[in-house]
Amino acid sequence: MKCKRCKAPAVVALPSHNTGFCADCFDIFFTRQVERGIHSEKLFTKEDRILIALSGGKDSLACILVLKRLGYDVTGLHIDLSIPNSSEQARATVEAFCQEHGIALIVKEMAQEGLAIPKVKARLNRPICSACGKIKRYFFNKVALDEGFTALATGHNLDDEIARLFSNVLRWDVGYLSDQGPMLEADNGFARKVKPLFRLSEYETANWSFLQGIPYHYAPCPYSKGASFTSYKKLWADLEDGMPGRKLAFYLGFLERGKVPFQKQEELTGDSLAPCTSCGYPTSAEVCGVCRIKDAVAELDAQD
Amino acid sequence: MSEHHAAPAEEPSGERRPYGVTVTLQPSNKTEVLPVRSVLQLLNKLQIRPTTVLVIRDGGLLTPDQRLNHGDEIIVRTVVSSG
Ligand code: SF4
Ligand SMILES: [Zn+2]
Ligand SMILES: [Zn+2]
Repeated sequence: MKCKRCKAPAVVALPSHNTGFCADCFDIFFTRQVERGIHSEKLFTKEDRILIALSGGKDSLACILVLKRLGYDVTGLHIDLSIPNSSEQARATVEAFCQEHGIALIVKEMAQEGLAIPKVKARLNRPICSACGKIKRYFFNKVALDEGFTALATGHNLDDEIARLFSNVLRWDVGYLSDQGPMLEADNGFARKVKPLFRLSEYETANWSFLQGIPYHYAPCPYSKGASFTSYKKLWADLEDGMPGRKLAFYLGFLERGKVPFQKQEELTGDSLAPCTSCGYPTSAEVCGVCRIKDAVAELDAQD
Repeated sequence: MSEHHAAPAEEPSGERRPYGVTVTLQPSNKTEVLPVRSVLQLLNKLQIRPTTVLVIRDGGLLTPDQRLNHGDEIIVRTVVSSG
């Protein structure tokens, strides 16, 4: 197989674009897709200060590297969850990567916030992942606002977005359907959220990451139940196989024609949010979920 | 062509070792030896869709049309993110 642009031997085959690329031309293709997404959805500009959540996985590292090379003002944020046999490796990967590429990094330790995940897990009698996700989102948002960032980016790719959208559609979840997309404007108490890799598939991102030498580490969280939305991703892989390009078309169609009616509906029937009386984070309850978890963990500590 | 094409009969032991490509699956790290002659054959044999894995030989990526040779060591790494 030959590269579509320069006819050198291809190293990446892209059925959805019915083509293949050599390493250099694939870099150009990938970077242009990211730029196109940023411009078409007006995610941010060179004036923005962008905070990027770095889990240690390839997608978030790819996200910050491509934005840095494009000349955006980027800073990494790593949340250290204090999970044994997992958090240490994730943090070391992120720190080494940021040092290698000259990227500013903020590390937030959950142990110091009284929210070490194993303690939270010991205190909760429901699955840890939803609480852990809530805690991560809370601190992404808090650091972004406290430190004056104007956009908060995550490494979600097209497959993540499609799987989430599909799951929201199956439940007709008006609230989630009203605010899913590559850009969520800042709204009282919430930073602007952006997903710069939304046009790129998981496969494309993995190929690009490999070719840029982004490290492959596999130290899964011991509490993980495996990849989320796996069955929806399989279903969509079948659909995409039969009609290459269908995933992106479905997603862009939702943004263009599907989302607004859900937003209108949500304005009428959605929960109204007010600042948490303890920390100020927007919540539909009086005290936000993270403050309640914190109190519960502190109570447990007091008993020890 | 590469040294991988050396005929089995020329191997020092003098024995004819059956043709085989050593495949390591990531992240499970399971290894098996398969009698396949191209990346596409390999993926078909494993029943893996080409757009769900990276196929790596000697630190480089292979497209499905690439030929494989006796003695090749191949990594098949799934791309689905765990997050
Ligand atoms: S698997 Fe669950 S507990 Fe572990 S880091 Fe992810 S969300 Fe947190
Ligand atoms: Zn090329
Ligand atoms: Zn609170």
